[in-house]
Amino acid sequence: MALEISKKICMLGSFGVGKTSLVRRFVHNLFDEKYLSTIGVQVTQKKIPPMEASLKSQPVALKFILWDLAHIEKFNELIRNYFRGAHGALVVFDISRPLAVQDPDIFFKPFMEINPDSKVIFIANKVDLVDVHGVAVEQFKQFAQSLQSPCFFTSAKSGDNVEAAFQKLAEMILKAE
Amino acid sequence: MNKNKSKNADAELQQLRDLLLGPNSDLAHIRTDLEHLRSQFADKEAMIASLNPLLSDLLERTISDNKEDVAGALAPVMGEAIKRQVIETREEVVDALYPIIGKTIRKSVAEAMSDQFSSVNKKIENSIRRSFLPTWLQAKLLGMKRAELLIKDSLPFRIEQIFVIHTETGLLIAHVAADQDQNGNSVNQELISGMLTAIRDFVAHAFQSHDHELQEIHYGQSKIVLDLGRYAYLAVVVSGYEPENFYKEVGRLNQKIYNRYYRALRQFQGDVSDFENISSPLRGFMESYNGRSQAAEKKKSRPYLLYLFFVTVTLVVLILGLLFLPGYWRDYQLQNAIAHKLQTVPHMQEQKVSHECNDGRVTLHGQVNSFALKAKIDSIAQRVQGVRQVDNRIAVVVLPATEQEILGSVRRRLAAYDSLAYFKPRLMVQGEEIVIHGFVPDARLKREIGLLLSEVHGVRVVTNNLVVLNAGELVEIRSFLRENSILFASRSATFDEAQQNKLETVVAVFRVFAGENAKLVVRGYANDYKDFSRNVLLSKLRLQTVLGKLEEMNITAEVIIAVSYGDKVPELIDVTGVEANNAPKYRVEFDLMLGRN
Repeated sequence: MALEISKKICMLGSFGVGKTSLVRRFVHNLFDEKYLSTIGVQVTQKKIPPMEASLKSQPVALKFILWDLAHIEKFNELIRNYFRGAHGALVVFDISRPLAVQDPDIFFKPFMEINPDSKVIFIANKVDLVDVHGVAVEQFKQFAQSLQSPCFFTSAKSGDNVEAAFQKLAEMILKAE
Repeated sequence: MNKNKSKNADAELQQLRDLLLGPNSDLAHIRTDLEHLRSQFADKEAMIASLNPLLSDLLERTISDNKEDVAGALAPVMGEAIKRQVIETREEVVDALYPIIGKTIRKSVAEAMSDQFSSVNKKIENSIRRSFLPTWLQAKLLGMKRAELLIKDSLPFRIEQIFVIHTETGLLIAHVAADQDQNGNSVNQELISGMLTAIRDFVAHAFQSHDHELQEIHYGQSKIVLDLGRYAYLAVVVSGYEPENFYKEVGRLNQKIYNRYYRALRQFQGDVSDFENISSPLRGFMESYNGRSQAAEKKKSRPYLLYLFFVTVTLVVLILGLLFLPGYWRDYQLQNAIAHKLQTVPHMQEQKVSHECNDGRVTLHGQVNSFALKAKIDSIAQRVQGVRQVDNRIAVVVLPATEQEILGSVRRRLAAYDSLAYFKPRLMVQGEEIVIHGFVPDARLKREIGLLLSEVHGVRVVTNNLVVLNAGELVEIRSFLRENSILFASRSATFDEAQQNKLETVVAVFRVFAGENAKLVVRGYANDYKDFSRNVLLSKLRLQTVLGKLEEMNITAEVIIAVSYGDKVPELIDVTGVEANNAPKYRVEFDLMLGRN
């Protein structure tokens, strides 16, 4: 029997990049959306299939508690509270929009300051809307490389690579255990 | 000439008339506009349509600027109009207001009932245990209607669920539910934990209340009671009207969980397997309340006399307890406070002293080995707050200590100095004099040890021959290092573990000089057997063995000068200065070379 360990994961990204759609696609289990507009966060849960962990004597099934944050165009004390104690994050970008207008410094830097040991994956969402050999894709690859984090090109619409991105994050967290 | 002038004047007058009264004149336009306005004024509908936006704006601004004045002006008119409207069309007004007023009334009634029940609860808890009295008598005594009491009984307090939630991450640590169906629904529990944490954060942020915490969330007939601990908070879902002290009890439960699991809580990273058996205190807490209401139902049928008996016995015990317990408790606290203070006296554990307290009077018993110590203990006891009097019955017994006792006491005290472990100071006791030889890393430690020896019972004279390890004492240090040569069995290069202690001593000495560009000289020897080449090989092997051990202790090759026989017969190093030729050659010996040598 696998050992079950819960991990808090934050979804980061500007308005309209598809964070909530990714969570919907990944989780298939929605909570009342009224919460989202009222307090700025939606919490959902998803179990990752058991994996072997080097430091544990039995397989480990991670349980992701996903905190999908709204209104993080401006970092404030509330967002800081929401970030606290997170074990990982998915930083989501809309690949169909210019990278320059989706300033990750608003949320990515504070997140890493609050949780310096947490694991991060960069996601370029809406890949179904762009040319996979285009400039935007290449630019994003370079950007993720500069921050030394893995990047995934996903489509919440088609489901491409969504599971893989979350699976990779789970592996990174488990490796650091 | 005059006729011409008159003609011109007529023409100019005609021109002026045309300008003023002609069909294209301004006056004609004004007349047309006036006619148009007259017709608009006559058409009231058109007039209202054109003024409506302006008037709305004007009214809005006036009301917003002079709210009080407008209300004052409108109140009599509005009041009269509403009154008339209500009288004339009562049914329509009732229908229109029902959705709003109905909700308001329901809420008001619920709040009023809640207040009423809280007040009833308080009265009951504060006055009498009502279970042994009939309800009519209870109601009479409490100054309330019997029906109120019956309603209260029909809405018993119940704990529905308890969550233990990690404060920082919002992850669920434990959950128990009164209803078995809710126990297995882990998805909702995890989500509830996360959302509750988000709500707490949101409230704290929204009201900037970092010093105050969200304590309750009401929904319908239930509410969630929150109690924040250092690493985790409890969320207790309850229904009905909570008994007095319930919040304090929740706080105690949280403290109990902290005391039992504080290590796991501090290191919590999502793995709840560290919280084995956490459900039992939670379930116990839940059942203590839920079971109480069930038990209360059962108790109703029991005879009153039995209850009266129990109440009388309890009262007697309580009165006796109130009379005697405070004194016992004060003395118990005094006893602990004195014991705590006495522990701070150096070497107190070697003395045989006890104490007892009675109504603030302290009696000291036992024996000590000096009058100074007796006085010190007395003074400590006097200074403890609450002590009214000290009866010091401690006997002073100064027995001459034997040499063995002195040695034992000194060794116990020296064992506390880790840095001395490798220098192995030598001790000699002659009567009441103690002599100490050996090395210490610094002068402060030498002084401290001298002082320590002077305090040992039975010692009157201390001869402190400890040598401080510094460059000025190089001759002694080199000699000391040679004394710690590593010996081998005859014709063997195998390291004897019994020699490890010596090696550690050498390394400890060498490390004192590590910052002075020091080199550790290591020399390997072998006995002078007939076969010279075997001697060379054996000395090299012994040297390698010791170098390997040194490397394990992080003394690297850069700071070592290794010398073995090589292809020459070595010069025999003098060990004692006298017994050079008799010194054992099956050894590896050490020497120290400082940077400036």
